[in-house]
Amino acid sequence: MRKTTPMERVLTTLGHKEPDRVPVFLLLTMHGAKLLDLSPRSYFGRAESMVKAQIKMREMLGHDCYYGFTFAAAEARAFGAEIIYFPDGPPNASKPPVSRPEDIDSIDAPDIAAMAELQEALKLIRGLKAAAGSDVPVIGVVMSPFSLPVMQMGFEGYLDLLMTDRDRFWRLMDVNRRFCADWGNQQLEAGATAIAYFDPVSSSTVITREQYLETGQKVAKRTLPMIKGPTVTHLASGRCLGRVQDIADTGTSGLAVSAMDDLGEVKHEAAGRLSVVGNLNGIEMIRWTRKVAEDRVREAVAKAAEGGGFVLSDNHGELPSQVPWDVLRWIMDAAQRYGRYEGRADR
Amino acid sequence: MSSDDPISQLEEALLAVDEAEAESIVMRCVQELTPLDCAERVVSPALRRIGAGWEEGKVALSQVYIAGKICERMLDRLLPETHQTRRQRPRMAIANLEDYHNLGQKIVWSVVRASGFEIENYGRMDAASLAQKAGREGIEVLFVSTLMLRSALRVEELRNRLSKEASRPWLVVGGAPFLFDTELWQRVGADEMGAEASAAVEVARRRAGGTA
Repeated sequence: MRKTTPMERVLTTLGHKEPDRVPVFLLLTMHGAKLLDLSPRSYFGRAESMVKAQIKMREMLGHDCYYGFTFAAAEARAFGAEIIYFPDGPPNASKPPVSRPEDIDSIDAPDIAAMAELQEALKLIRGLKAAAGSDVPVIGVVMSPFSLPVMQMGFEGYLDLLMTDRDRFWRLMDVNRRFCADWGNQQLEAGATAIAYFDPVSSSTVITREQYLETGQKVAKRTLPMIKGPTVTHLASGRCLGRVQDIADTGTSGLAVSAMDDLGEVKHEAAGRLSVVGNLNGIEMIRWTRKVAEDRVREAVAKAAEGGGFVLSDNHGELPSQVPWDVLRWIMDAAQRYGRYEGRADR
Repeated sequence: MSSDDPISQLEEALLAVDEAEAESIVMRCVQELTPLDCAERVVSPALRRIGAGWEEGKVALSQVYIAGKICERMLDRLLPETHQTRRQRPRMAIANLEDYHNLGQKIVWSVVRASGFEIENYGRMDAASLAQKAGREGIEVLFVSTLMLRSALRVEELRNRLSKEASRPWLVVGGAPFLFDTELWQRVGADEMGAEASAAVEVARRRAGGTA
């Protein structure tokens, strides 16, 4: 009997039907550098290394996607930020390039073709698509226009802008929206199956529901239709209970859930309009034993697997490189064992 | 306003970002109390409730941020009028350890100052420079804010360096990595962890020995 491919598994669950088992997205970035014993600067600077690592990691672990994401600061770089490389963490954006609100008056969307870091990410996606064919989803990532300003202006400067200078805020959103849609579409053209729309500022951790409806939701409603492929909204560990339906109203297909939210409650609130992705705690995972890994996977499956519409993953959208390989294997073993839809003990 | 209690009234006004109403409540308070006593008995408890609300997922970070800023500004205006200064002990500082995101640090700084305590803001520093500066300046309580996991793990190096300084400041950590792994603060050698900004005020009172 032919085995279900990861693509079939993922598409079935996103269609709110039950596949053979719960799909698992291990969203690995820095682990690739660790695997190949490369510095992050060397690793992220060469798409061939990243493609090789993604393929090898999927062979080792057996998860259900390739991750076409490099690092968030690559988008800030496009707007003029410097990138700081660390030996033990993802590259960061340094001093925000937009230092005064007045700078927004003359800002324009950068040319993606001129950005080396973004071009390497496109080569990564092309390489992954060549390896995946139609069997394995390739996930691309964009920073939402609404959350990108945290790197463009600094968090404090951006909150001040949001609350005191709506004209400039909307001008920045117009610029960011053009960039975001273009960047998302280029990734889809390169072979990405779907785009993760990273939008932590829209979470209830950061802004009130009223603020979200006035700003982040409007931005998403104007941006997501411009991206010519399926999207999943990712709040990068931010909470979402209380605004799941608001997020569904943006037209996105899925929602990544924080470890601080109850996965079952979020799925219930989604009421079949969104698939849920998550919500394993990637920070705590660093010290998980086999038993803890199994317990966490079983708990997530029990809360969210029923009826499909669920992908098991971490809650942040990127696993810290400090998470041991063994823990990742234990998660996959547990998903294989407890995530099967037929003959589930908890039914 | 739904309550006669000034703490609840102030909490409501701050959550609604009604700076005029918040100021009106505090002005009524300082007709009977000094600004510092008002900061301790009304402002700080209101901010603590807001912080607890954020920890529970009921209040947004934007509200915590604005509430701290509003209260800090009010006390900045009131203190000179009464020739009072913020409480200088314990000697405290806050730093952002190697991150480029300083919102958490700014919120803690505002909330501590709004509650009537003075605190130095060291900005962004690496472990070695921070240990030297804290030691040189006789800091008794050092708050460290981090957003990135790698920065949180650097606290261990900071702890080791601080132990070599003559003063061994009480080391309090906070930020997302510590919220997502509640045992992390112990593993990196911190003395305690604050889950939200107003926890820093409690630390300040405790470390002052109740004399603040």
